[in-house]
Amino acid sequence: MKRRDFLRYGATLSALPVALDGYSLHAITRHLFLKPLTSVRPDRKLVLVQLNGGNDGLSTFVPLDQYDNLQKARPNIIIPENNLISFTDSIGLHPYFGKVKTMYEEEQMLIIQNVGYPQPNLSHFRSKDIVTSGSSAQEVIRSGWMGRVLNSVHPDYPTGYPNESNPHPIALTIGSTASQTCQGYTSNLSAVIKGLNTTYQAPGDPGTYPDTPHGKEMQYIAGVMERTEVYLEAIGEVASRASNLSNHYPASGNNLANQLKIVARLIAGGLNTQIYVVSLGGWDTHADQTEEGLPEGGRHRELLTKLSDAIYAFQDDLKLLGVEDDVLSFVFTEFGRRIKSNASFGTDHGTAWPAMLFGSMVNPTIMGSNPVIPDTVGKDDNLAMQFDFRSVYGSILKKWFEADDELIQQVLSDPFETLPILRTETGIPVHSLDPLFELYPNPVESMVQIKLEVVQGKVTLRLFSSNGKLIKILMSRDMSIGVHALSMDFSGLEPGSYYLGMTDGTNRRSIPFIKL
Amino acid sequence: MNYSLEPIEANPLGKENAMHLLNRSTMGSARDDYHSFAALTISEALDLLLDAGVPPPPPLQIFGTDPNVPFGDTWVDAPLDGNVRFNRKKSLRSWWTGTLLNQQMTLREKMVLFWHNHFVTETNVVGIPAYLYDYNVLIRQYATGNFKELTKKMTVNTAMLRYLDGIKNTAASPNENYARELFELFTIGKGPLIGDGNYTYYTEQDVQEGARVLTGWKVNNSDLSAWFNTSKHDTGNKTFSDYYGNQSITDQGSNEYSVLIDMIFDKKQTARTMVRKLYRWFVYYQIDEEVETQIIEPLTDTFFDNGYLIQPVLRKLLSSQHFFDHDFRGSYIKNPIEFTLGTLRKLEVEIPEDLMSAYEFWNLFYFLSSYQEMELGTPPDVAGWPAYYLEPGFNELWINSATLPQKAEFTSRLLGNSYTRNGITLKVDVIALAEATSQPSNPVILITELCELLLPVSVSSEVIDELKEVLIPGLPDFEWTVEWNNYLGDPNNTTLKEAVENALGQLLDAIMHSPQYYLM
Repeated sequence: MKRRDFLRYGATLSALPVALDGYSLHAITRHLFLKPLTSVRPDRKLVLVQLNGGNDGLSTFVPLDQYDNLQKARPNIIIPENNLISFTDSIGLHPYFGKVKTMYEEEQMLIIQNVGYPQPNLSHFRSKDIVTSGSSAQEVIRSGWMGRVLNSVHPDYPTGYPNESNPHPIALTIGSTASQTCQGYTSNLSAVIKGLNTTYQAPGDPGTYPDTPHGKEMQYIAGVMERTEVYLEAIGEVASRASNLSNHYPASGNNLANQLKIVARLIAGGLNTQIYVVSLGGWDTHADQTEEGLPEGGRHRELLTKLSDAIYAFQDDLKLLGVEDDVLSFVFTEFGRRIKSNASFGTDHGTAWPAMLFGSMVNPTIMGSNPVIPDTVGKDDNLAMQFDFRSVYGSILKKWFEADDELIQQVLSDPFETLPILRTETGIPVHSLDPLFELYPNPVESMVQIKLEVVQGKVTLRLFSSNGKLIKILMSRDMSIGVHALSMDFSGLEPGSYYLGMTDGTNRRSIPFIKL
Repeated sequence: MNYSLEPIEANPLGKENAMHLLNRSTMGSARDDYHSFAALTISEALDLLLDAGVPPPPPLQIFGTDPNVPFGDTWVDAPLDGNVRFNRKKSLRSWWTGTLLNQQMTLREKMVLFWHNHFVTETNVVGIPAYLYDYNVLIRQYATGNFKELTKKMTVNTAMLRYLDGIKNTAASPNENYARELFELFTIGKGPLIGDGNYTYYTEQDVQEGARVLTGWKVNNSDLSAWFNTSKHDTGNKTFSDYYGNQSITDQGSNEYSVLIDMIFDKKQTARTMVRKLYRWFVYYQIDEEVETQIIEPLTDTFFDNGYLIQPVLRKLLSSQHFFDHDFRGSYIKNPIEFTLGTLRKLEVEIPEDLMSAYEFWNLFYFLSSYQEMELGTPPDVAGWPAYYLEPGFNELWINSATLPQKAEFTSRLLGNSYTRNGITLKVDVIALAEATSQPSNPVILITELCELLLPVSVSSEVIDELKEVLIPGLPDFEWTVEWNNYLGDPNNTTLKEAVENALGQLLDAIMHSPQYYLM
């Protein structure tokens, strides 16, 4: 059994060495296996912006170099090239996503193309579970990735919380239900508020509870009651210390902007909480993603307007409030959408999606290449993944929170690729990813040269189909540290799009390529 | 923990067992309800609970004006002229809330809510009020009936055809939406991913072939019925995965969906998945290995052998020693509808009888449950409310720092008589509740019996002492006796009356603000 299985299911003690006698299961799961996170930067905040339903990246950042093939695949919904906002040489922006261009030009935005995971799952529920838990497609983990991080800092939560050193919520969801990303091993580390100015008084001393289902639920409810009283009081007090300063927040009808407004005010007011979760639903655009005869209309237009308006105002507010350097926002979704559109002016569940990070500290660039659209697109064809979503999580933990590798590895369970998500001290955008991993020529006819840098250990090269299905393990062997050049013969490969994946002890990289 | 499915031996049931049974089977039991069930045998009690009862009268035209329907008549068969959708939907949600609130002592409404959470539709996605009403009638008709038959009816139900894009599913452009949920959520359920696109109990191929089977179903917007358009149906050969023995469905026209559903229900896994869901709805969310082998498996046999009839499964489960185990008393967090409506039922709050006021209040209760994150008619998505499936929290998800203030505000405002609609203020008759106890002048008996009415487990003497501090702070017991008797001696004296009313209101508020009250 893998170690994580034990953590997850709280299996029997017999699986443990005798030397651990005397520890309770409880203590073991929390202290022994998960190294406490001590290096988290307490001054830094992370805002997780969850787009529920699956955003269509191909209509958000339209790949101009793939436009002809894309037009063939989705003739009924594609926005005419002339109507797109010119963004970069190879990307056109959805006409209602223009504020994003401003933020990009002001160096407040990082785009990471083609984020996904191998063996994509097209079920919303399962895919949402995967991205919130940070698991692979093959395993079921019931805790959230951020919950595990927070549990390593606060192993005893909720026992003894709030306390003198942690008077504020550990994480805060603005909404109605605690975000699954903050689900810890036993309880969710996020408090929830719908708005400010709510007060609550908990009943008196709850006493002790029997070890029965009744006792378990009593303890849970009484605990939430107590924490709610303290947290809401603290939040009210903090909110009274700051006001929103931006006049860009939409007056009404933008629920995401309303949530971010609260976050900005609380951060400026001095809330110690480091993790904030906000969300915007409605992205499951099977139908009416665009309007018939008006590809720049429809539901996607509304959603992108809301998203860009909200983030734009939020960034402006953070700047005016003087806290912009403390905040990183990460926009994620459970999957992208199918390349081919359907007859209902919509798109079905797909795979890879573009991640967006906002903040004054981000590396203001576009990582990865445009998605590749084949000449003929079948109804089940999906985008190839370039970056594992867990590499984004890992990079946030490593770069933003300065967490150590061992902890990140424990949280994410597999090697991850470190992406340069933050700007360097010189402020110059970093385009290359280290360590080195290159393939050329691309497209490939027969022979291909692969250059890779080994940081440590055994190197495995895997060939995946465009939808993330493992086709073949090309190579798996120990290699010395340093840069290596390999050449391989791909002449036997069927024409189509693929990606090449590389893992060594620490890193995980992948490159999409086309076989002619 | 007792893991036996044998019926409990208590005969008659007694108050505590009756309370537990009604807590889990209804929207809440008032004093008379559990007192009368206490005198029954378990078998008699289940006979009553499984009675289909009389269907409620249909929802009425109350809000706004409708060109075709006068005030107080039903709109369910009337043409959809003019701008009446919103008000009909408002009427429907109010009516449904009222139906739950005024339920008879049967399992029916609890099961209607179960099916709503299972075969989800969302009001604003379906859009057309008459379809939503048809859907409501369907799940009520099959409340404790045959799951397989219900699945067949639901597959071609107008609301469902609209909700999961069945009407857009054609041979030329298949839409997988319903087929996917049919396998994943509505019947057999998803198992572990054991191969590319293979979820153990079905594959991506099954979803695609299932979608082809279901092509051609349409909704006729003029007579509001579902119909089968042969020309939009995929007549080709649909072949299912190994798991289904590579069964093919070919050219059986409008009967194909029924063959597909038979195929899925021939798998016992479908019964097992559903029994687990019923267990979580009625007993507790944690299913360990012993529950699995000693409860779920035998009930799966019962369900499967009875051709998917719900009744025998519920009868066995809700009679069982396992269900009545003491450790389960007060282990189930009430959902917001059970919390809100149960409070009104237990406090026997009288709702005005005139139609306008009744509908206005029902609409208010709909909102009060929505504020606590359970919007009747609109689950968050097709999987239903996360409290019934999302591990590891399950129904603990109902309780958080956003919902607790809403719950506390509701009970306090209700006891403070501050909900007013249509010029009428809801009133909790706290004196009547006290008078119904066996000795209202004795504070210990009064508190004990009010706790018995409102809480799922008996409370300790320390809790009684704390509550006495609320009723008569710092005073000896006899002071309450004196106050109460003074009031009885001069019931028209408003000063005396208000004094006992205030004290009783504070007492009830304290009981209803305890963690125990959130449980059943």
